[in-house]
Amino acid sequence: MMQINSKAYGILELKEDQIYHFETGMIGVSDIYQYALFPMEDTPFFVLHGLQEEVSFILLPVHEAVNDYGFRITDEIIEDLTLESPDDVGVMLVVNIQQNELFVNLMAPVLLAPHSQKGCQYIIKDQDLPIHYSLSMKEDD
Amino acid sequence: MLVLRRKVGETVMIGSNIQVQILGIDGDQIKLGFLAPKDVQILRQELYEGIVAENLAAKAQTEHLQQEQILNLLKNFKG
Repeated sequence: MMQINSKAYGILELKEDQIYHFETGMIGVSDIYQYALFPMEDTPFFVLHGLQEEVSFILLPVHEAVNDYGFRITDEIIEDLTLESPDDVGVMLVVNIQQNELFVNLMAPVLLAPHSQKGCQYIIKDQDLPIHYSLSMKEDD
Repeated sequence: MLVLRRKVGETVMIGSNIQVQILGIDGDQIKLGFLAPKDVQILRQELYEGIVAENLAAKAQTEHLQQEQILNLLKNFKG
């Protein structure tokens, strides 16, 4: 069990299995390699929060965002995340909120491996996917 | 910045295991071929910069999370 004090989220009690090691960090965010993952109450969203820093991202599990999303789990990914099988990985998207609209990055999902507690942000290069995809299509009402 | 001139078909070595070859020229477009180990990421610069910018914007918004609007936006999202 460990505790982090977040300005944005308050005091957080975290279990070992909520801590992920990002060997190369998140793209463009250098020097942060340890992140905690926890659900955002009353929402389908999660928070990826830097352990030692006041840095965090809002993530959305991919199945909540889009259908028909797929990409090849390469040998590189299997090795980097020490995956036991290609199913051994969770895929979440980085959420960007602009003018009350939700956008997700489909080109660079965050991969999380619960067995090895490793994570990474993977850039899909063999498909033409948007970096800034609006979720407003998905909302009911 | 190191500047080299190469003709079509010629190659440049970066380190001992990265190769860049000029494969062809078509008008103002140059076709490049890359040979590199799996763990070396090769990406069009604007793509990489785009992802960095998107990440930084996404990271910055958490300061505004206290706003009711944003919290409600997330709570009302239906998957």
